[in-house]
Amino acid sequence: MASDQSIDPRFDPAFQRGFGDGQAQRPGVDVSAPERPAAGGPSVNVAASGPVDPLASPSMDADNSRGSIPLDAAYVPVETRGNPWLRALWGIAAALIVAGIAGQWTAIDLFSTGASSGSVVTSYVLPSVLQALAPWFLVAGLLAAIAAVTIKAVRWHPPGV
Amino acid sequence: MFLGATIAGFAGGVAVLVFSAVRYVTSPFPVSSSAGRSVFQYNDQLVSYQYYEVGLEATVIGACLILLVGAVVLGATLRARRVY
Repeated sequence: MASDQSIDPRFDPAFQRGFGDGQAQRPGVDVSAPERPAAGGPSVNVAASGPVDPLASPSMDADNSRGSIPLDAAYVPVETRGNPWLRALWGIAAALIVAGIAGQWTAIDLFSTGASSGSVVTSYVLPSVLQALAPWFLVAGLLAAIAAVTIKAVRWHPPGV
Repeated sequence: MFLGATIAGFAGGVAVLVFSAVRYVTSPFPVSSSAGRSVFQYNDQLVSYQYYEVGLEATVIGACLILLVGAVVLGATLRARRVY
């Protein structure tokens, strides 16, 4: 990536990648010119710039090609595709949300019509149990969904980086 | 271990809930004058059979569900494959 072709002519080459390699000169620039021309854009006399090497700090491309310094210690892309735990999290979220909604719906239905069934369990036990557990199911499912989305968002990185 | 403890707590809560429900069904029904169904007259007062009341076991089950979600989130975070 860092080559002579990557020098952006709009900016000072001294502050661009590949400048310190001794061959990074912008095409069309007269290196023997004593000073910067008054017109014609921001060209610069690279020979007069002296031994300034802004690439002394770790560079992504230059240093990685030498295998000395990792890409960037501050930004480590993490792959989330194929993570079975994340898939399980999505599954748990969907199952719990559906179970919570269905439980609440069934509890209301049993409270209103369960007496006609004549069964003690469907009339007296199941409505209370469902009404007590359905909110927990819904909350846990929503938490799982929020956590899954958050993990995906935190681990996301722009394509090509 | 975290996941195992969570599943054990969840199973314990379900077991207590089932035990309590079975005991309610197999015992004489409590009557109430404020909640329930099958209203009938008892001692010159309208009463009905009281609903089964879920106790602390529902809270235990719900808390274990949230802990289960937390365990899976932890696993998903730690399992993330690093790419250099």
